[in-house]
Amino acid sequence: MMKTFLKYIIYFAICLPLTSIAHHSFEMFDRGNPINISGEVREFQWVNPHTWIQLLVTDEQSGEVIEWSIEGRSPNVLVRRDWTRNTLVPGEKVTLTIYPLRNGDPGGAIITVEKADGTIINADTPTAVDTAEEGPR
Amino acid sequence: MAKKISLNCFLLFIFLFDYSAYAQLNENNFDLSGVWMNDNTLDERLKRAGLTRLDPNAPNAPPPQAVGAEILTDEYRLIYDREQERLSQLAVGTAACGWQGMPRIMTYPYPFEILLSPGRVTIIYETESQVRRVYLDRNEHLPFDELDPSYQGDSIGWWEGDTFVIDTVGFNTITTVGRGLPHSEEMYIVERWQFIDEDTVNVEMVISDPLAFREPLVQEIVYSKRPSWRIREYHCEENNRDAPDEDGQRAGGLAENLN
Repeated sequence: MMKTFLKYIIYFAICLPLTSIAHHSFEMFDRGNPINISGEVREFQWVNPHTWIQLLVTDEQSGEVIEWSIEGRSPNVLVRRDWTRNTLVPGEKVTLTIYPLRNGDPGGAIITVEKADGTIINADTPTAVDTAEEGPR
Repeated sequence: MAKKISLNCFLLFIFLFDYSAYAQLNENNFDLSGVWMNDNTLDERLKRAGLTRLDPNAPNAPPPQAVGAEILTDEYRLIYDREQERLSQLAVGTAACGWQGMPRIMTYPYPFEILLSPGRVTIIYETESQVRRVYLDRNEHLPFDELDPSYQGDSIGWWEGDTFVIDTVGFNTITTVGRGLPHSEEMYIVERWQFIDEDTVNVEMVISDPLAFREPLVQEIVYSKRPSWRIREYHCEENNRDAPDEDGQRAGGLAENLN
């Protein structure tokens, strides 16, 4: 059994370097500091190569509305985790947990969605799982 | 009438003859057809070894051993270095679109569907709807005149026991083999698709290139069937907000660039 396992470990060591996540790296996101943002969904872009949530966030002090662009996994991946094109609809209020862009711009990578009724949906972003693993992204 | 019957008999004969070319392919009637998914997560690998993460015998995942530029010949190391220099000018997270081709298409994290027809195994990838055609009805590659360099190359296949072997030559040099490693038109790939059980296959790929690599690259990937999945579209150009603009930034990454 151990021998078989070691065999797979060796495969892993060989395979990983040749494997990459789909499309691009997530290095631009600050995975050490997830934040929550609450707002109104302006648009849910259910398209390849990545989904995007356009979220209108109102600054509590200034009242200014800032549009955030939150990147998620492809519809192909999300649909196999029970998402659909209607998982988010324009006008609904949500709280998103995201890894923000390192450069401070209003953008990030989605981790979870909390709906108005408290339901939490995992977006299964590569950064939200064990990144030492290759495999489905 | 007799003529019609004899024609039908002839067609039936042709059908049966051709059918036998792919129906009796391997000893245990393992079936390549269906939707397959790359299945190399740590949990899946542990499961195949009869272990779980909680098992005291299960070691942590080893650090990745990067198969990197050191395998390249001097000439191709220069090509690699120039490309890395170009990429370093782009903002982190930018990504252009393009076909992955072989062998990278095999490691991409989306499924593929295999269709069987007489003399042919056809692999349709979800990624960019790329298609590979593996010819069972000839045992030689296309002659050089017809072997136009391509993303997927020219593939011939045959069974050895329970292992489906694919031999591929004739690649263009637009693609990499992964990790940015370039290759030449001389690259050739031998894949051995060995069935572990009826729903699981281990694919060993030996990627050789007498011009670009000092030694062959070997990679093994396990795929398993996903009977309930259907292949969807995945076209990177559909809405690529991460494409680099003239300044090397992510052109459409933020809201103000949307309209």
